[in-house]
Amino acid sequence: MLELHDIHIALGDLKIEIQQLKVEKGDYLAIMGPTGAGKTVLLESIAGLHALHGGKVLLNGRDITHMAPNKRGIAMVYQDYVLFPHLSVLDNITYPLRIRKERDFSFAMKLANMLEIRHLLDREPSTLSGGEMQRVALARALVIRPNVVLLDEPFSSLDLKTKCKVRKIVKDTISELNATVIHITHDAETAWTMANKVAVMHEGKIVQIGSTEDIFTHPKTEFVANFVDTNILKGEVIGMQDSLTVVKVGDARIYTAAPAKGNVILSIRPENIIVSKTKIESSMRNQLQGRIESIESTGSIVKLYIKIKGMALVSTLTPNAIHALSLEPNAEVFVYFKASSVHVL
Amino acid sequence: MKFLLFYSLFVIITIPFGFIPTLITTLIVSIFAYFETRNYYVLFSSLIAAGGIIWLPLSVLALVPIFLVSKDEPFVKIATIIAALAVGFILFPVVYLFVSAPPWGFPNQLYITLLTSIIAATLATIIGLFFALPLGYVLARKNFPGREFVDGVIDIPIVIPHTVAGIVLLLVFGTAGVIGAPLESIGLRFYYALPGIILAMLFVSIPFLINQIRDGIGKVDERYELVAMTLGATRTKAFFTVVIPLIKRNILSGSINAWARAMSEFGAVIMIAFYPMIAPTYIYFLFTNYGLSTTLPATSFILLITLLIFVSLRVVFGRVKNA
Repeated sequence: MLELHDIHIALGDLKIEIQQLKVEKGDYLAIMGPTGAGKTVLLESIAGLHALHGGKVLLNGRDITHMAPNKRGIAMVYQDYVLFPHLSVLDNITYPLRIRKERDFSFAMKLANMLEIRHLLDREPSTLSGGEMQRVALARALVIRPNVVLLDEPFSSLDLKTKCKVRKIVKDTISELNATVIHITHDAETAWTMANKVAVMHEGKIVQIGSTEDIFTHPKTEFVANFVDTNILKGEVIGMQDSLTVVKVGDARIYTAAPAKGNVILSIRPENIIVSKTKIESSMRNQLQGRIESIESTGSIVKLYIKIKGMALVSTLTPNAIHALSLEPNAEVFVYFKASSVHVL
Repeated sequence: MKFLLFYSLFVIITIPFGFIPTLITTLIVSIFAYFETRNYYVLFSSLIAAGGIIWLPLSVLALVPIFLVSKDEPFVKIATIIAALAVGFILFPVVYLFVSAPPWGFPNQLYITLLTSIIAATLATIIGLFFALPLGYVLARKNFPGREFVDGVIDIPIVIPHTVAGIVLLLVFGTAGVIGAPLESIGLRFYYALPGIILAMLFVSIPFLINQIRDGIGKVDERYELVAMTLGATRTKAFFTVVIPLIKRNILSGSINAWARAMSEFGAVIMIAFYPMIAPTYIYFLFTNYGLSTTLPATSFILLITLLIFVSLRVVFGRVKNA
């Protein structure tokens, strides 16, 4: 278990302050935040590569604040992998073992199999593709059976197809080893698919932390909601109806199960919005009519931008659904979502 | 034309050897140029070279047809002829020495002095590496007030006259010097001794090592070390297992340059240790005592050996790349 208490880090203009952060054994924590939020520096500090200006780091109850990086058993994988260019793939993976004068490479071989890089062992790092380098770097980090693995945006430079494939291999490997991971990403999809906990960082502070489900469905602030890619609507509460709150957004009325009054900000996850070309019978309280403005495909999911009475909504569907519903730009559509899917921020 | 520089160089450095060698060289060059271009105009070169019988420098006009036939841009042609003159300026005296004095028939003492040179230069390079690796690391990795001052200090041995360097070292490391005297009492003498030679060589050659190593480490991303540390290496171990392999080309070329500089040092060495004699000192000794003609075979031999060592080092290590 890794715990941070009252961490202060100052590096140039960057200031990081974290009151408390706990990662249990086997946890997969995704730290999300925009560029410049201090995520990489936070990871380097956990690894012991920067001195803290205050606070404590505990690992399994032991204070490691002043422990040398090489004694912590916290392995770091950088965004650009930082494979040793003078060593072959095999020598890269076994580097931590050779440093420890261990001669048994069987676990390294097992990792190479699990991460599907067995066939690359004789290659030079410069000849590898991004997805291959990524897995070699991960194998090199996992080979020491680290207490915590720190991943700094490991998938950000991969193309979409590779990203999906590598993500699956990495996820399977990490869950099989029950490794504890802290993973930095600005990609909501990666956090959603990999992590069981999410922390959102903004200007050096953690603004929200919780289970992945919790963060994505109940973002506490506008910043978090924006960041996890959910629909944000501004409106005014105009009354109650059937124990639901009625919010006027533009010219539309939106029902929410959450109690609220005055000016409010609403959040609706794109995947909770159902789109249909024909009117359907539904118990869902929010039923609106709009027009598809554009359709944006990001590979595994498709984003629909829908214009409804002066407000804009994003809905996500699978490419198959788009095809089956024969949706296309400028089509008139009906939009449905539950009152309980509308969160008040 | 691929070999334009070679053609010009051969003709230019043959001219001082006289009419007949020039004529032969021009003939060979023009035949080669003909096979390269398949243009028979270049064969007129040897005819023009024959004009050298009137006044030898006219032979240089033999290059005109070759330059006319060459399809290079005018700028490249002019640059090539100037380049050939510059290379010829360095190469001609060396070639001329070998022609006028064969590298044999010198006193046997030359072998001993050459051996002294090689041993002292090698030791100076090794000692230099011992200091240059940590210093290069600190300069490349750390930012501190006075950095530029330190960078300037490192270049002092390069910019001061070598006799001045020798005098300074003598003042400090001489038998009565502030450092020399205490070391003398524990049995380490620099004045008129091998350590003095190594000291002078180290002083003039170490900037080459430091600069190369600092530049090399500066190009190695520090995160290689950081990653090695999170994987279980200490900073020291990361330095030896990651940084050193990544700068081996810089280490080799810095060492070769420093070694060559040490081998060629004379001014600083004679100030602190005229004896035991190193090869350059012995050449100077022969020249001042016996005159030019006695000195020439020895000079020729030293030149030959130095070139052989330097060229073979370049060939062997020239292919080594930073990983």
